[in-house]
Amino acid sequence: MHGRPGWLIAWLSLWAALLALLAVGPALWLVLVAFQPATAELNDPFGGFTLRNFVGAWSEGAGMAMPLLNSVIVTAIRAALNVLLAALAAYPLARMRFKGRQLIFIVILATMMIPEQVIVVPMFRIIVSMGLYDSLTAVILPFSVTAFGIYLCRQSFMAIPREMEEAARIDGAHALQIWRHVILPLAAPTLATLALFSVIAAWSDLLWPLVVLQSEHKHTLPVSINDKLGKFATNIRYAYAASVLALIPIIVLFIASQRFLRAGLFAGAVKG
Amino acid sequence: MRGLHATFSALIGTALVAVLPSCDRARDDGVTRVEFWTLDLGPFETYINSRLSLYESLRKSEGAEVEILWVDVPFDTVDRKLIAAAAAKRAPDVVNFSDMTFARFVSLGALIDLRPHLSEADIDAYLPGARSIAEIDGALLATPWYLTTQTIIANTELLREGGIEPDALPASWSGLRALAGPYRARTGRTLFSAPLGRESILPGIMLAEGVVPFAERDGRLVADFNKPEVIAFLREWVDVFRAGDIPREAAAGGFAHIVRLYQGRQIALMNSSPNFLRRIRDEAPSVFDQTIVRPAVTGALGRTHIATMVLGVTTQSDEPAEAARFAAWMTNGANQLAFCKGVNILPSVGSALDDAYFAPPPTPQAGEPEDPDHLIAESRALAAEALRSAVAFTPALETWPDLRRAFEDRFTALLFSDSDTVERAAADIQRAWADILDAAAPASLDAVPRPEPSDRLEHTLSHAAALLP
Amino acid sequence: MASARTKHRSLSHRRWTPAAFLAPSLLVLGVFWLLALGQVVYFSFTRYTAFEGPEFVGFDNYRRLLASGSFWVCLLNAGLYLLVTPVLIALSLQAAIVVHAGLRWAKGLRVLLFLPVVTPTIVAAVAWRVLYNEESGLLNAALQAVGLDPVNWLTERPWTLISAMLVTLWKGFGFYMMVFLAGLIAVPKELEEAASLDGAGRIDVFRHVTLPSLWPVVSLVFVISSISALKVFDELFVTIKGAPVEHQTVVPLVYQTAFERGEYGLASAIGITLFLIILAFSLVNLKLTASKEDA
Repeated sequence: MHGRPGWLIAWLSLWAALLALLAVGPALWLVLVAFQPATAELNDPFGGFTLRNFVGAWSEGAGMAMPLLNSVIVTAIRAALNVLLAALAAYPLARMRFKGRQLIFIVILATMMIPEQVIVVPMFRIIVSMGLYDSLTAVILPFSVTAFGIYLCRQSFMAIPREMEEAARIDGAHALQIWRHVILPLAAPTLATLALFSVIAAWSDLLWPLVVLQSEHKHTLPVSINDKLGKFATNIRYAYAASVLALIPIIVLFIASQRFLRAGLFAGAVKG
Repeated sequence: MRGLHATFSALIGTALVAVLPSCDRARDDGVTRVEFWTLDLGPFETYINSRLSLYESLRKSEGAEVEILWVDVPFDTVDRKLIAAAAAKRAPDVVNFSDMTFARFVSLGALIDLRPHLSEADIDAYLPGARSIAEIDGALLATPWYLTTQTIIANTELLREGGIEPDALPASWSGLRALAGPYRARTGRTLFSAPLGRESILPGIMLAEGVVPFAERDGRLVADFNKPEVIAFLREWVDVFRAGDIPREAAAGGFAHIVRLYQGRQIALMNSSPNFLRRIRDEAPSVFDQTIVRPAVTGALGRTHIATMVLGVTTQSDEPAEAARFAAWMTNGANQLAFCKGVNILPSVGSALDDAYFAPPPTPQAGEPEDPDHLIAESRALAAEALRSAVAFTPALETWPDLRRAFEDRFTALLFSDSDTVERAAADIQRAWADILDAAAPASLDAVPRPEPSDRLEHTLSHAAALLP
Repeated sequence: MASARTKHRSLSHRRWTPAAFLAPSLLVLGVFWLLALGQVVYFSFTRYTAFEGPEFVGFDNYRRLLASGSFWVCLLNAGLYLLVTPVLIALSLQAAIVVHAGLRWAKGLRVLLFLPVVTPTIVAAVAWRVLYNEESGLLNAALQAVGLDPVNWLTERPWTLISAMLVTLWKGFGFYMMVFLAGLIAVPKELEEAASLDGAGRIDVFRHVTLPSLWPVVSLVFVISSISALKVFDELFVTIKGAPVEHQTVVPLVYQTAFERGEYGLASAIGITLFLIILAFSLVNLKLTASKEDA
């Protein structure tokens, strides 16, 4: 990186600053506005400081405590199941020989082509007919495993040297033990990445919870924020406060998990 | 890994706990439960609750354990709430619909035919004009409930200034339009206004004039807008508007502009809900003092328009017989009369109209202190009188709001452009309506109110003829 | 493929072992995705409402769709929404180049630019709603400060669509930046060095060496981002809440038709139409991937 002309460095730095401003600006502005008292102008994020919006959002109607708890439950279980089920399914697909393996893999990949938005109506009917309408289970179940997760795990398992499994087998371990004690630890970075992606997706999900949840005390955070934006919302600033509440945990988690995320993952995506 | 395993187990355990399908409404204890949704009737809680306990004790005396579960729903959210409840197979048994949303739920197959559950006498008790909105293809899909209607509210001073005798007011739209030009020539002001473009009253008036912009082809309702009768009807209004005899605000001002102009003495007359009288009394007392009420303006059929609330029983009801019985009871003469006495509304049952409450108030004697509510009582009596022949000129079509909007968009444009023609507008509206009806579930011509001319017709026509200059 | 290698090193396992590992996933994917796909096809040919059905009616729903003004408007809007793709590619490629240039804060910058991706869409939409506020938002204040007329970001077409597209752009560019970054890392250094030894300037090297080797990534990003633009819901539903469905695209129309109007059959037909369009894009993707592997 030597010998770069000064103009190029300046040009790149300017772009870096602009992009950083674009990326952080809107969310930061929202955070500032959420702390403004009702008397401040909406476009003035420095008009004062109050926690009243957060207190209001927390206590208004069904409150924020239940949505926050529901979001945590849904996100944690969905991410855990995503990793668990995908890792389970990927193992035989990567390592065992059995009839129909290729077909099953293709069918699983094919579900990646089905957009949730297209099948939301029958998915909803299935949930209702199972008696799961208006339950957190309904939010989790259809998304408890994804074809993408299985694909990711399979790729990662296939890269693990067979010798390690052979050694375990000679020691008399059966398939489940090998999976747990050999495969999973070696694929841990991939599993962590998958978990993080699942957390981000589940935490953000709006359409599906909106469709299957009715009672206010079962709402997740996005559904609850959506309500606070509605026509009958008493104070729009409560929606801002609630949004900040939904933003902070995921940002903290993401920054804390930086060491797991690797550009290599995207290299895999690029190779298709 | 052991830690991970433990975490998984804990989470899956939690997941299983979360599998708590909501408990069922139906309990097996011999009590018949009927869920009843009303629209924005929270303020009348006392009345509703008194009826519910009356009904429950009545049924108890007949040996039936019935419990009515009352839920009041905000007007704007009832559609979504009902769809969501139905989607989850938890729709209520009896639901209060306005005439605008009722048709949508009919098209979804949401309502049962009440005829098998009601006696002929029950059904005949309802005013035919109110009942007609719920009668589709021979089925009675709801019982009419309370109504609102219109009257003329007129300023005597202004009328006299324009040479119009308040007692000789025309009773028809054509009569009013004929007076608008001479009135303006004399006073420089406009006689009346009505929403023509935005919130247009013309689609309703068209039906009230006996002009039906629909036809039936292969048993299916189709648009029939681009025909001479419709064009002639629209041209009459456009001509008066373009001549300046109706205020410019009529194009886009909606209902709000009428009261404003009336209170500002810019128009002498308005045809609208008697509820506005209270507002005029409070906001413009001097205008109120010069105000009289007269029977509503009608179309060529001689029938006033009514807005109707109805009670329907959903197809998801587990207790359709009990629900239908309750809906009929809730809308019977005695209960509606009691409701009307508490609220400024009108009943849909003839027997309730016979009550002294709806009789004209005695004319105040000279020298007696003036009762400020006299005018309101008078307007109530007039409205009640008109009710017997009134009709809900709202087609029971789910697409009616869309059809109206298509009409309003195009017709407003026509009013604003002097180079545009009624023929062109009619052709455009025909196309838009054909598309809307094509895109909707099939309906029948039965859904469009096409009443016979009322007995009042003779009277109205002769009345109007006498006034023509 | 690995299968050729595993043939002679077949691992011993009991017959039911693969089934046991696969069962939970196959159950979920089979019931909620494959069965649902079959059902949505069937529903699209039925009269099916929140209260009644399903009852077979042939192509009735599709006929209604073709006659429906809202459907065509939403489809047109979905087409317009695809305009977000080229901007998205330009912006994320630019970001990738800046991050790849190895400035001192490159790693921090990469994390920073990825933050919008992590931000829940509804939060992104709310944040932009604050900026779009027609009376007191920052954007209109800025426009007026430079002497321009304020814009009805949340109520007037086509601004409503543009408002939602900006949110999609903001939320998405960090993700595609990472994809481009991976592509940039994969560009053989020797090629670039050889070119600059031949006396080519930096810009020439970029244009004639780096960009062509990135081309497959560009086409991949194009397909992926187009497909997600066709599936957009949250940005529209939240950012321009209150605007009529005619200001939105196909998925909000599916939602409204099914869950606000209770017409499942009609909503399924809209869904199938969307699926066919997305499928066409996916096939293009497959073809691109295939030709890339041939090369």
